[in-house]
Amino acid sequence: MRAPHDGKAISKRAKQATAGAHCLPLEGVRVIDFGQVVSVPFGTQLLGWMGAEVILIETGTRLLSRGNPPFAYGKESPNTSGAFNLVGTGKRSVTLNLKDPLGVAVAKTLVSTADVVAENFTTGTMEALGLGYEQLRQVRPDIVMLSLGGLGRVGPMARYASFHSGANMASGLATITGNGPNDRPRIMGSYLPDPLGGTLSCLAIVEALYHRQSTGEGQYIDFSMSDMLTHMMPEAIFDYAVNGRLPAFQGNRDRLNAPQGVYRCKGKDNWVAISVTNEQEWRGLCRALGKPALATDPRFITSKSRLANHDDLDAELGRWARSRSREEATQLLQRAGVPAGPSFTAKDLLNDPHLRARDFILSIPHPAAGRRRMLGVPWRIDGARRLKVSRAPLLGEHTDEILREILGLSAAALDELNEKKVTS
Amino acid sequence: MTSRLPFDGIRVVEYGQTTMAPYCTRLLADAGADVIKVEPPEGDMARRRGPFPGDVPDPERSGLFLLLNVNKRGACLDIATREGRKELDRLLASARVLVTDLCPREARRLRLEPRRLRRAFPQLLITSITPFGETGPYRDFRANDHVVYNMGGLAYATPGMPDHVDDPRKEPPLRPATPIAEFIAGATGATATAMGLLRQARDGCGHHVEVSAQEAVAFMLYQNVVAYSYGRLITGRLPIQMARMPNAVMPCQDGYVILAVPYDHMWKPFVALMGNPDWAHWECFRTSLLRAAHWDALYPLLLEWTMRFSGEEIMRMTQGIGLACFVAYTIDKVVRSQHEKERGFFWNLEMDRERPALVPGSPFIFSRTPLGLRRPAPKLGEHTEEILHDAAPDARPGS
Repeated sequence: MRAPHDGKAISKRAKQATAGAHCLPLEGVRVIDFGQVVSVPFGTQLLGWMGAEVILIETGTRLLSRGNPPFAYGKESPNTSGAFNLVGTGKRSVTLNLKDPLGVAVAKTLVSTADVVAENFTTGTMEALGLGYEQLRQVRPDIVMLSLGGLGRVGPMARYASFHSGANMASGLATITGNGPNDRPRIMGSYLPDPLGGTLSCLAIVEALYHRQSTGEGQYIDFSMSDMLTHMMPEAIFDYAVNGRLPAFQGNRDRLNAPQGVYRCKGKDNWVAISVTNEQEWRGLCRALGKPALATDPRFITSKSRLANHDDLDAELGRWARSRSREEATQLLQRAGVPAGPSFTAKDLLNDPHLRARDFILSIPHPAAGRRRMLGVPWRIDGARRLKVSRAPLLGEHTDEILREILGLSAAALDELNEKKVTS
Repeated sequence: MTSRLPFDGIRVVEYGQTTMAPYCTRLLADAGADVIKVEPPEGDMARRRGPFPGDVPDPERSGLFLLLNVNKRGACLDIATREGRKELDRLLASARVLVTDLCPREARRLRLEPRRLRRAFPQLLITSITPFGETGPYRDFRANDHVVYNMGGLAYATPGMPDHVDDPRKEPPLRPATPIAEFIAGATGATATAMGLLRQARDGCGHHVEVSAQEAVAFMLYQNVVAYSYGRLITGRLPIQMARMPNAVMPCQDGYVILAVPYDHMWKPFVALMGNPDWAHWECFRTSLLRAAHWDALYPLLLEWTMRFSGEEIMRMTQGIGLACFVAYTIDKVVRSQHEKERGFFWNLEMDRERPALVPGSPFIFSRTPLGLRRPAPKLGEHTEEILHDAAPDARPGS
């Protein structure tokens, strides 16, 4: 087992977890990561946390993630980008010039020793570089290769350029996300298709590895972020497919139950989410509001009538919430058995007592960026977070080490590659 | 080409409701697992949610249920009775995996706590998907998709970059009209379970995989966590501090497009595409950051251009010069899309209606083990007898 790259402690608990790394599910799996920006890097980071050895191929002259803000201490450099450092943990970095045939040859040789290749260039780029699936199969017949794209690799729109926003639009998700009938289609927060695509592509990769384990066969996986989102909106799809009906924007409301919404609380931009799904919860809500008579008000007596008079309920709840903190509102409602909770920001989550008690937050030191917090693996195994994590690599930090260790190159050969600018 | 699927021969028992566990096992079933969905006598709640063909409620024709439970078999057991529980235990003894989304309180009531099951079935991989996990101060909070979506932080982040709210006091954090938090939790559960299977194949042991839906949602908050951790910025629905423009959802002749031209090297070809209007060369629009600063002035000028074309025309023209612009597809466009047809994304449920009941297939395509529709969702208790009859141990790991 390779030792973590940093001698310094990551955090007490993560260190303990690192010590238990021998039983991680992807131990012994080598991943060659051609990922750009968020989606694939996010997924390969998770593979790394789960024990895989992830080797990141970077081109020193074309830095996407590493060029994205925000930067630690406001200092713009390839090693201070938060956008990179929080998808780069647990990986080793090799810089290779893929425009140079020698660089491609080195990359191919690395693939020949690997189990998984993952990439999210635009469709056709890997093939043009000489690194397409058919080409890589020649050097590693049982390789598992995943390509992730906004619209996948097959189909008339496969060559379309796409950001996360494109997946929101093409999947139909944007047209079921809007505040009331006159709104415009809205984009999900936090580049959702990217981290979600990265996570779900781990499922596809692990399935393919499982298949390989029992048959010896590798395969190619064509992953579409747009299809992934369409997969997660079955009610709207079914209603159109079977009834020919198109959905209208419904804001935070539910199709069947009421009330449901997010209401403004005391303070600046603080909100509480409330959702009533049955009569018991409805009576609880009326009690919590101090208005038990509402429960028998003819406007609100069934969920159907509550849906019809949702505006009136929103006004009631809005008035009630406005004079309370979101914590107070949550407590009063939860005590009355009503599903409710604050609308948390990333800052809230990093400081949340529940998530801290569950050991979900990682704190990772980095020589150029200092100690930074991030959210860890969203599951536990037998009550413990089991993951292997080390800081994000500096640009090209492991080039020599990996080419020496894996390809057996001599110091002279490394110097030559360096001089010819193959490893830059 | 082989006809084997990755999880062929792996028996998975699901005891779940609505979306979280059912979506998790739908993904495993698509990959070949023999998923046995155990329902209580009243059936999965998704059977009552619809939408229904012709709006006629029928527990065997609820859209949500039919989509989330294809490729599974179904057994109906009243596990609160001694007899029903005995049969569930017999099923669990024959299975490699149990997936459940009972909240801790319900699990205690039904004596199905993971800890108890780990002792009784040491070979079993148990995946529990709960709103907040099995420990911690929120453990017993009442929650559903809406609450978890908010407490996981994705609500506050939405609408998100490059979009934002117009009036932060009037527009609350926003949820799409689908239980996206529960889907994220189910997808996370499937990923964790698949990894657990890989490990189980090696060490032969059972484990408890404990998925918290709140954490699964929070895990998605990459952009906002980066912004806070590295920049002390609280990002999300509010207008963006790091904006580069134009990068916005805009009306066009027949709907909406996202005009994604955030980087300076994209601006010049885009201006040429618009026919080099004078205003595009004004100093106040010279860089993407200046264009963001003067967005109120730029927006109507761009709008004048977008309103001259249909969404498809704008997408074709802009994609032609490599810009990542897209039409906001309405659901009909998605279902009828030639692109999805060629990908074979939609499966036909053969529901005997005028129109084909096309439903989402798999979000990824395997070259050697193509995933497909093998059987429709089970009717309530459809396979109870056959399942109880042959509740024999399955093949060993990796065989």
